[in-house]
Order: sequence, then C-alpha cells, then structure tokens
Amino acid sequence: MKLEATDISVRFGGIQALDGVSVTVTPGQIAAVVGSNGSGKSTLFNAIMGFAPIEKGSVKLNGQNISNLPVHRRVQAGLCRTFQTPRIDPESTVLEAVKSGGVVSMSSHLWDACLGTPLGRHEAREIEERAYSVLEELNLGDLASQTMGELPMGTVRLIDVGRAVMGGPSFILLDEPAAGLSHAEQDVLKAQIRRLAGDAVGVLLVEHNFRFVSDLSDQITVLENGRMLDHGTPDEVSKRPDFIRIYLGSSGADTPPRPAARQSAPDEAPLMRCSGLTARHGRIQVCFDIDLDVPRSGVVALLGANGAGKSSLLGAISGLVKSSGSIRMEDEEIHSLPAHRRAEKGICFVPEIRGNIFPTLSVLENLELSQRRLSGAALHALRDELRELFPRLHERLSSEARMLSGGEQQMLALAMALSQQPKVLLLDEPTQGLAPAVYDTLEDTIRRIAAHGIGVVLAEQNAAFAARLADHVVVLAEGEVSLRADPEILSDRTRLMEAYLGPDNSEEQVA
Amino acid sequence: MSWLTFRPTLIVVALATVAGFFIAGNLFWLDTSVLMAIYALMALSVGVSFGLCGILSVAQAAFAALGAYCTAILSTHYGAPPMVGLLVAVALPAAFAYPFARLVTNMSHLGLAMATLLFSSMFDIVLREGGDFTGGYIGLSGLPPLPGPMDAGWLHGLVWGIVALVTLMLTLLYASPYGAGLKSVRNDALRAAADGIDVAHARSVALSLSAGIAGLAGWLYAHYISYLGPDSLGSSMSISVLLMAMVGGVTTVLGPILGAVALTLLSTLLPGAESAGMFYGGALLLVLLIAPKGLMSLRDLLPARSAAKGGQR
Repeated sequence: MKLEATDISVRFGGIQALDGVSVTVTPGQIAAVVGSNGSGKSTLFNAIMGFAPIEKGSVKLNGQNISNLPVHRRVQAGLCRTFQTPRIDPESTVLEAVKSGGVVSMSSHLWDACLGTPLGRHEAREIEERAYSVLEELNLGDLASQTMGELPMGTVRLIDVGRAVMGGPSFILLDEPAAGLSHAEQDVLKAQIRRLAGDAVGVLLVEHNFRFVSDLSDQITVLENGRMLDHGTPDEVSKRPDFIRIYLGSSGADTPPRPAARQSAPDEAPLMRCSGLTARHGRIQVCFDIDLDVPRSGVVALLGANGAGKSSLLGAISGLVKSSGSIRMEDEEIHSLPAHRRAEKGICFVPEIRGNIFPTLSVLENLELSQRRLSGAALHALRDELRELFPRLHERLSSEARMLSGGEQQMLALAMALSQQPKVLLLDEPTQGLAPAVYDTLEDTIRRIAAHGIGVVLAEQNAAFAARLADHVVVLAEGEVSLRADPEILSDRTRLMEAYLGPDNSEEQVA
Repeated sequence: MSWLTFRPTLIVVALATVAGFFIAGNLFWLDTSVLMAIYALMALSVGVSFGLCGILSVAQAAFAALGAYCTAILSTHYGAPPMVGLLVAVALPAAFAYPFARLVTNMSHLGLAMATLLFSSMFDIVLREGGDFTGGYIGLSGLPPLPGPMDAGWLHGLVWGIVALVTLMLTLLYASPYGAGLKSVRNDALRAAADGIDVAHARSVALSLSAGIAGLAGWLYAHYISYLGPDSLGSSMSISVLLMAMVGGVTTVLGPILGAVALTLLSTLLPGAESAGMFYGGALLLVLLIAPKGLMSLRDLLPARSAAKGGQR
C-alpha cells in the first residue's frame, strides 16, 4: 500500500516545470514538499492527480500504474487533493460543498436521487451525517448553512480539506492548507491531519509555513526549479545549507555585514511612519498590524521567507494593495489618499523584476516619461544627478530597455524612480534575477541614493545583501513582525532562522 | 429529509388548486393553464440542464418534439394507446440525449448553444421531409386525447399534477449529494473532477434527464392539442422556454415554473395584437435588469428565515 510518484517530469512548452522528482507516501505517513514559488510544488500535485500531463515517470497507487487514468478515476481509486486557491461556488452552502466531496463514495445513481429510492435516501442521509461530523471535527459545525462566498479564505481552505476527506481517500494531497489560517485554525487543521494519518491515510503536504510542516511531517522533500534538492526528516532538512539558502537567500552567505555609515540621528523624527498597517488581497489578510518607521537617509531592510507579506506591505504603503492603518509622511497623514496621490506626496515604489520600466522603449524615452513633470533648472539638476549616479545608463540612452542587462535594467528602474523625486523609495527585491557580480554596484548606488536624504525600504529575500545596506532590519513572518533588530543580527543565523519561521505557538495553543 | 423537501411541490399543488377554483368553467383560462403547465415542464427541463448542470441547450423544444412525434406516430400509424406513447416519448429523447451530450457538452456555452441549435434545425428538416411517416409539412392530426374524461377541469388537474411530480423529483435531486455534485460541475468542472465526479458522464446524464422531461412535455402537448406539425415545437419555443427559466430563476426548482407562468400571463394579458411583442420584450428586459438571477431571487428581499435557506435552493 503506497503512493509512489517516480521520476516525474513535466514540461509546459519550453519550461521544464518538473525534472525527475520522486515522492513516496505510505499509509499513515505525513510527507511534505517545500520550496520557493515556482519550484514545482503545485505542478507535482497536478501531475500526481492527472491535471498536468507527465512527460516522463510514473504515478503508482498500491503498485498499480495510474499515470494514464483521468482525474476522476484517480480520485475513485483513492487519491484526493485540495487547492491552493480553493475553487468554490460562492453561492453554494458549506454543507453542499462538503457533500460534493462525498459523491465519489456513493453506489446509488442519479435516478435513485430523483425517485427517492431507499438506497438513494439511505446514502444521502449517510453523506449528510458524515458531512456534519466532518464539519464538527473542523470546528465549523455552525457554518453548515452559510454560503461559501461569505466566509474568510482561511475557513474556505479548511472546508476544502473537509470536502477532500468526505470521499474517504486513502491518500490526500493538501496544497498550502494553512495559508491564511489563524493560529487557532492551524491547530484545528493540524489535529485533523494527524487524525487522518492515525486512520492510515497517507498525507502529502505542500506548505510555505515551515513551522507548520516540521511540526507535522515525517519526511520533507525540498524542490528548487523543478528538481529535488533535498530529502529527509524536518530536523535533517532544516540544518542543510541548501535549505537554509532557499529560505534565507544565498549570495555572499558568508560575508559579514559591513557597517554602513549611519547618518540619521537616532532621536530625529522619522521621515515616514506607518502604524497599525494591515494589507489584504481580496478576502485574504496578508499583513497584520505592522508598525514601520523610515528615517531620512536610512535604509530599512524588510526580510522574511517567501509569502511572509513583504511585497504586500510595500503595496499597502504605496496604495496598490488594499490596507488599513495609518501612514504619516513628514507628519502628514496620507493613508486616505489613492496610490497616485501618495506618489505625489513622495512615495515611490519599484516593483520586483524591474516592473516599472517599459521594455520596448529606449532608455532615454523611459527616463523622459518619468521626468515629464519637471522642467527648467529642476530637470537639469536631476539629469546631472542621474548622470553622476548611473554613468553606465548615460552610455546606453538609445538602447531599448529590454536589451539591457539585468543590472542595467535595475539601474534604469532606480533612475526612473528617482526622477519622481521621491522622499521614500520602496524597493521590492532589487537583486532578484541579478548576477551576484552586480551586487556591489547596486549596493553602492542604493547607499548613495539614501545619502541624498531619501528613506529606503528594501524588501529582500537575500538577507546577505540586505545586511550590507541596512541601518535597521525588520523580519516578517506570516504577515507579522517577528523581529526588529540592528543589521548585526544577520550574522546570527540561528536567530534569523527563528524569526523567519515565525512565532512558535505550538505550545501555547495546546492549552 | 425534512418537510422542506416537499415545500416546492406543495406550493405548486396549492397554487394550481386555488387557481383551478377561480378558473373553473372558464374554458379560455383552463386552456391557458394547461399550456402554461406544459411550458412549465419544458422550463423545468431547462432548469435541470442549464440551471443545475450548466449545459446551455437550445434544443429543448426539439427534445419535446422528438417525444411528441414518437407518441403521435405510434398512436396515428399503429393505434397505440397514449400510455404506451408516454413511455417512448420520455425514454427516446432521454436515450438520444445521452450520447449526443457526450459529444457536445465539453464545448463552451456558445459552442453548445450553436451545436444544440444546429441539432434542432436538422431535426426540423427530418420532420418536414419525413413524408407520411412524420406527416411532413402538414403534420399529424387526430391524435387520441389524454387519458381520463374529456373535461377541462380534469386536464388542468392532470397537467399540474404532472408538474408537481416532476417538481418533487427535482427537489429530491437538488437536495441530494448528486445535486451538490452537479452544481459543482456547473460551477467548475475541474473542481468536480477533483471530487471524483466523471464530468462528461454527469453532464450527459443531466441532459438526458432534461430531455426526458422535455419529452414528457411533448407527450402532453401532442395529446392535448391532438395535432402535431413541424412548427408546433420549433426552435423559437426552445428560446421562449429558456427565457422563461431565466426570468423565473434558472438555478432554483420553482424558478422555471414561475417564469413560465409569468411570461404566459404576460403574453396573454398584454394589450395590442401588433405591439404586444414590444411590451413583452420590454417587460422581459426590465425583469432581467431588476432581478438578473430571476424572479425567485426577489425572495431574498423578504425577511430572512434561516431555516428556509438550506432546503429548496
């Protein structure tokens, strides 16, 4: 009895999404797959379930090759999954959603339902009772007649787990079931997963929340770029350098933080002060009650694992992501303003992968676009400043932006941002996709930008890069601040890892 | 299974009975009421295919015609009694719809609408070119009447009784786990597959059931009117019953019946022979603007009764 996915390769067009990945789950075992965004976790689920065609490899259930069966036949054979973004009918009731998961276990037919035959009635009653008891186990008993659209996403995820359980699967695949759940809900989910394992169901878990994963699972597979990087128990995996690299970012991992020139007097009022800031995407709240001070000429590094809420926080500050709380810029409240008005007040956001440049326009055209508000002396002054800051760009004014190297594109993105004459610069992962060779230039440039009196918020996966620049470090985990410290902390890997993993609440929640 | 399961059926029975008392002896209104019930059945067939399972079929009248022609041919050519015709009129459209649906239900809404419309046109040509067998352009006349006394009051009771039975069947289906499964097919086929539901099979069974109900309506129509021609149950009828179901509320059990009653009343009561169509269209647009999910959705404006929510949606 086991579920074996062996040597799975999946290709989408020119992209090798999975390359020779193997996972085995036995009954009662809880196995997990971790890895950063785009590492192939969900694709692995899709391959096992039959949603994505596999190029190579096989999926076997209890020794039987099921690689060629359609999805519903695999479910009938005992596989089941939940979805990372639950696919729900917002108008159906919770009870209906959970009952849908039970249809697979029925032996009666449609006409039994229409004609109300004894068999049909019996099975319908059985499924209804089971649906209620599954909801009860998940502490959701009161919600049975609510419509799905009214519920927060975390609850919807829990219901999705209940729906998967209804069919009585022998192997269940959970795709980020804990995302968006409160700590209390996470504990309910953990209990349900343990109960499943206790009933000899094999569980395969994809999850960003490493604390959650390591609490539950016996085996962890680490994926990166569609390949298996590592495999072992949570204890083994969490100590391996490869895993730490994925979590903390890689380059210059051993470079000690270089003390930056601190220019702001500690008692000076901050340039920008965010208090009680929350951010939400639709119904999912991703940042909770965050306070953040950005001093003039200071660099605040915003660190945290993938999905911790860094980009969302920048979005909340810039006004692009729905949020609540307060943002004061030089003592003026700007949270009530829409994004374009906040930009006028001096907030400038540089999205990840240089998202603010126009790839098909030339460097000059890009710059002119961002400088269209300026004229006369101010424009001249800015141009001189940019020429001094970005000498390389000046040589490439006529090139199309997309023809620039990654590092040059990042310079262009920064130059365009500076052309807005910001007071606060929000940089989302400026090192993403850049060769380590350009890090030094980038670091130097950002330092010089700060020296112009601009406050910089630097969201980075790459802790080492951030360490070299930051005056102050804020670590996010699960949307909350888990650590505030001086950059020296970044050389303390253990504490940093702790902060990345988020608050350990497994003990306090047991009570 | 609570009493709520029976509520829609009881509503149909109660209203039909009350209406029966009011219109007893009035042949015009009794006739209108019988046709209303036949439309209601066809609108219910739309409720099953489109409302429950998301199959946009514009061939419901063709399925009804298939059933109607079965019983018409059996009774006029072979002298079969209407009750024999009933079995064939329900079974043949249902049996035909299943493989037909396997072929076409993977299409988009628009593709499906085109495919079913094409099927109706082809079927229409078959009827017209069928010679003596189908009666060709002239059609078949002299069909035996519906069983029972030739009394308008009895017919009113018979047809609405059948509507009530079908309503009961559908309420049972909607409330069952199958109903939940079919709804999830309509909403997100991929999700339904992940529930272990064979989507192609589920859709085909739903269209098959829908075609069976349409065939039943066709049987009633043929024996009530006692004449059947290629224009009796044509494509325009498919579109009217689709409209009725939409106006009433296609995802609810009672919605299609309500729509059939409302639109039939509207077209009967509207003034002006020439300009009636204009008022009719205007009224339809108004309903769709005010209640895009159908007249049934207006009950949400009533003071909420939490117990009423689960049972009969």
